[in-house]
Amino acid sequence: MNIYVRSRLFRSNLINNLICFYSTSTPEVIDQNDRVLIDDSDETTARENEIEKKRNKSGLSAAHLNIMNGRRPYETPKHLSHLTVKHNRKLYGKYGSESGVNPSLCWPTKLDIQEALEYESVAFPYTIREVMESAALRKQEEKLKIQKRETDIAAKYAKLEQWKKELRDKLAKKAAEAESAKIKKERLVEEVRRHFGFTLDPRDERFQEMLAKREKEQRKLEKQAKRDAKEKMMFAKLQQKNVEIKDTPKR
Amino acid sequence: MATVLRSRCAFARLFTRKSNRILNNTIDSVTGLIPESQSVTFLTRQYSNYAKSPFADRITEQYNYEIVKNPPEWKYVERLMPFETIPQVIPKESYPGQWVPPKDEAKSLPFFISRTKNHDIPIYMETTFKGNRRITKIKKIDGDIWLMNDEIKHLLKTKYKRYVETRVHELARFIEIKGDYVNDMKEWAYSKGF
Amino acid sequence: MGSRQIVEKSLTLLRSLPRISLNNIRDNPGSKKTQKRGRGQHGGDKHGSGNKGSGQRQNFMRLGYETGNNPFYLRVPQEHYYRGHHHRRQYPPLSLLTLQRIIDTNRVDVTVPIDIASIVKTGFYSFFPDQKHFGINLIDEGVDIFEAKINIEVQWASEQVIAAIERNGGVITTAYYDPHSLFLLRNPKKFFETGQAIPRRMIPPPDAIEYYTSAENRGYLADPDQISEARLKLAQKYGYKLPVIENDPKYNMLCERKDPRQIFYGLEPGWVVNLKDECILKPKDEELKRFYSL
Repeated sequence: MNIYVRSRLFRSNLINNLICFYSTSTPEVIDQNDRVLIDDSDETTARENEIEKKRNKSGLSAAHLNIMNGRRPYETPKHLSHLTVKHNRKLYGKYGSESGVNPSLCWPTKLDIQEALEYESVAFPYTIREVMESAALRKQEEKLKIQKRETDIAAKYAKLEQWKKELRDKLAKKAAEAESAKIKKERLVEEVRRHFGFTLDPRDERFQEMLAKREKEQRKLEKQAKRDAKEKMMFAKLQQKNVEIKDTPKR
Repeated sequence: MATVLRSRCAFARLFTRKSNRILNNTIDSVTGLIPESQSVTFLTRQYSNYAKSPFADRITEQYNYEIVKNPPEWKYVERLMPFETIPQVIPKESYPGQWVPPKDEAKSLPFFISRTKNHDIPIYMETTFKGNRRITKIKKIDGDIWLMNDEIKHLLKTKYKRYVETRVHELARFIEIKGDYVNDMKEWAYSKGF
Repeated sequence: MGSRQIVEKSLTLLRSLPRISLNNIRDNPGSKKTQKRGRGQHGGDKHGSGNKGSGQRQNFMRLGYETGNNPFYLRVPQEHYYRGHHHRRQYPPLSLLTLQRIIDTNRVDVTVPIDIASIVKTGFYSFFPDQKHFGINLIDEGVDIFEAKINIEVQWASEQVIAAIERNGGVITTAYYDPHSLFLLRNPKKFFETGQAIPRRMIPPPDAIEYYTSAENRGYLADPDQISEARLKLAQKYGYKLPVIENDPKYNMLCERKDPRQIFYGLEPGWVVNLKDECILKPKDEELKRFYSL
């Protein structure tokens, strides 16, 4: 802007001098209000415009010429967006105080500040310390969880050998039982076979009958054996008691 | 996006009204209270946009500010400005960053490779046909390009014991070598002092 | 006889002709191929595209499509290791070798603190905040050759890198910037030309706060006492003697740090920088001051 004004002044001075040359009027008066003088005569303005036109060898439009010389392209807004705060800020940022924009526009309005504050209160709901504390807490919790699990595993690991042994014993016992049952059955079958004197089909009725009989006998025998054992045990117990009774009075 | 934010903010408004939370985008010492009118204001995130930007004559705020000419902080602003040209390298005793400075003795040779604007040696590999054709290209050659071509050919032939195809473009001042010899050529150029 | 005459004649002609240059050359005859694709009723026929199908119609199936079969690339169950990667923070790497080269070629000034703005300014680091880039990850390539004494601020650094910088008597800080601040740091001139006031830097998100508050990572929110302790510990771990910063002639430069709310060195939030007038506008309004000091 400054340059533009200066060139105009310079030119008007030139013209003034010319006028002085012809009319010998006082140059001070003309200097004071040169604008009026230019406005006065259409001829001089026309001439000046012509000079200006000839001087612009680049052929750029007025707006582009302004931009090239670091001035705002035009004073009057050409578009709705030229009225906005954003555009005015840009003008100030690019062309400085010469752009004539009020620099107070550069800061957000009070409403904007309020909105920004509200946005931040939502976007960042906790202070750094709060977040730090919660992060530390979370870390501690995770650590505790891991620790608990580890102690749990350690305790279980200590018992592992015992459990293994128990399982092995259980399996062995089961296998032994199955084995004994099998032997018993085989013996029965063998006995039946010996009774008949020939190999009989196990599905045969006679065989089944015989088998049932044998089993009954076996059971009887087992019962008898159990009873005997019981009696024996009772007897032993009684004897022991007797011994104890005999012993106590001596003491 | 806007709807999401709006709904989030609505939720926040309820939340804040209930528990009267403090504003928390603060470094711990400073805490501010949410203004009371916040539950009334309609909140959306205003992205930079001419259509959303209000008209300048509607702004009533006139802030008090101070214009500091020639501020002491201006050096910090100058630091941030982009380079107008790529800075010249100030000569140092050593260059640990694997950059090799050009030597003066190279100027007396019958041929010369000038550095690029980034102070690099203009030796490149050009791959075509999905990397099947590899060509080493030496650009910006001055002086006797044919002599340089002979020297390169001789060097590569003695090193690799095989014929190396080259192409000299006298007009555009470059030599193309068929094959990947970029590292050899760079080593050679640095040893010559280019 | 005749041929020799012709040779001599052409040689003299060649001598009088101008030297070959861009304005008097043309393509070798036959180097430019004419259009092969014939036109007209029978001249074109199928133009070498074959008969029927994808080949003729040039509508090839998309890669991996098996005409209605369950394609191979979908037949194998996937494990989504990278699910949501485009939402995560990215830290593009910058090696210590490149940093050393930047310093060697005088692209950055080591007499002042280095931050992401000065690194981006060198042109050796491509940085796009809109692609979820959150700053520099200084990596350990060239860790052994690194020799510069600098005060650098990056966004991510490994232990080796911290050790390499502190071994030379330098200082490293890891600092978080929100994307908006990163846009400003990427092109400060463009921002100053918009005529806006410099905003505040936002605090890091919850998942990043642990990193930036720990002294091991030299976080900008960490306790300075803890940092000096961690410096000593690291020196012992890697077996180098920690240079005493207090006795350094560059002590003031090495101690320079940004405020957690500050984006540019030396420029406070709320200021308006005008490049045309070379002046800074500082707000005096109470409300503005309060807002920018929060």
